This record gives sequence, C-alpha cells and structure tokens, in this order.
Amino acid sequence: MSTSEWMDEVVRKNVLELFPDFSMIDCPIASDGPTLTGLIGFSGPHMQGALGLMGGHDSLQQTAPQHIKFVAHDWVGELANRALGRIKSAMLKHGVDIQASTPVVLQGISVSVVRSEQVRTFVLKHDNRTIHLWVDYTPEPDLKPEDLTPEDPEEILDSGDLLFF
Amino acid sequence: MKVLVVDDSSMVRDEVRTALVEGGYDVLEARDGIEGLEELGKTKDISVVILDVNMPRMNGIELLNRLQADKVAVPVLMLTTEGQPNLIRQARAAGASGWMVKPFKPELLLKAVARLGKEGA
Repeated sequence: MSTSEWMDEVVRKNVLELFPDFSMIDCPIASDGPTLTGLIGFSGPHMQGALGLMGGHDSLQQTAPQHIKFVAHDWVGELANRALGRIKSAMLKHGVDIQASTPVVLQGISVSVVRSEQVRTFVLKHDNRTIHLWVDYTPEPDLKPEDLTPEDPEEILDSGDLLFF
Repeated sequence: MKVLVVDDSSMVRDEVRTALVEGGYDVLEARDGIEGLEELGKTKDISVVILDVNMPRMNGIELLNRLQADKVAVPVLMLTTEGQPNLIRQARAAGASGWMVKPFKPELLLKAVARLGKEGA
C-alpha cells in the first residue's frame, strides 16, 4: 500500500466514525448554495496541508447535540477541529505527528473544491443533507510507512477517554 | 461549587454548562485563556477549571503556565479534541490534574469534576 493510500484510509475511517449517521458517497465537491466552512491548517515533519469541512445550516445542525442552542458558525469550526483531532491521533499511531492551527470559519459563500492528486475529498450524505470534507495534504517526499516510528497507542487518547494525573 | 469553563466554542461551553448545572454546579464561562485568567482573578472560590487547549489569544497550555507561575492552585481538567502524548505531558508538567478528549459523556464529565473538586477542597 502506498503512503497516500494508507493515509487516505486513516482519514476515511476516522471521518466515518465521527459521522456515524452519514454514509460516504462519491460525487463532485461543490456546494449547491450558501454554506459554512471550517478550515484548519496543519503541519509536521512527515505531512502538511489543510482540512476543510463544509455544509449548509441544516446539514450541520443534524450533527450537533440537540439539547443545546445551535450556533452554526461555532459548530462548523468545532466539527472541523474534532475531525482533525481524530485524524491527528490516528496518524500519530502510525508515527506521523502533525500540529494544527485554530479553525477559521467562512460564512455564506459557495465553495467548490478542485479534485487533484493532493486533495482528498470525502462527501458524506444523510437523506438529502450533505457534508463535504476535504483534506489537502502533501506527504514528505519518498515517505514510506516502514520509515516511521509509531507512538505507543496506549499513550494516545481517543474521543471520550479520560485520564487523571 | 463553582466551575469555570474556558473554551472558545460557545456550543461546547453550552454543552458543558448544561451537564454541570444538572449536576448542581454553578458555572462561569470564559472564551479564551485571557478571559479565563481574568475570571480566576475576579472570583476566588472557583473549585475546578475545565480548559480547552486550542484557543485564540491564549491557549490552554499557556494559561496553565501562567497559573503555575502565579502560584494559583486550582484543579484543572483539560477538555480538548487532542489526544497527543506530548501535549498531555506538557499539560501535566504545567499542573493540570486530568485530560479528557471531546466529544464527552456528561456523566463521565460530572464524575471527573466531582473527583477534582474533592481533591482541591
């Protein structure tokens, strides 16, 4: 398996786990109306790029806790953060350490993402609601999985984990 | 018992506040480390701080370092999307009492706050 193939697999698995009610489909990545987009840049010695998460108000609301007031621009940033947080932990288990910036949120614009070798797009669909997530990353040239030193998975915390010091 | 929640996401603060109020706690909120520091300076009887890591202006690790430098002794539970050992080690060295990864289960958060509240009393 090539580096980009296993990195894709790590991203795909963690995105699906974050959105269990959605399924992944293959379609062009373009919004059909005004959306909110959360963007986070990331970098590290083995990989750098950006993660974007885009959805309309109703699609995003469907992924939010239902018992609290929904604030779309706040939630899209938090959701992008959670998506990247999962990916970061999963990558670290393979020895790929990345650091992320705080999310930037764009509101009320239509976005289309041009697919390329570098831009991995993941389109999640639930009924008629769609969330687009893309990861635009560049692996270190000639990086091979066997060159990496994975962290001890026992030391990496996952969603919902609690540790006392 | 007063709990200070420091997170730049209003929805996360809302979610944490809802859980804590149901557990009988008084909740104060701050949007970043600077506001958190101000709140801790203003309100002396805060029993537990729940602190995000990635925030604008002053992040959670920076706030921990300030509290340690200023000798402010209050139990701090980190609540974040991060699970990386190097960050966890930094927080521990800077005086945090625990680490929890979002999304969280309200009942687990309440147990953690109760435990830290007792330790700090």
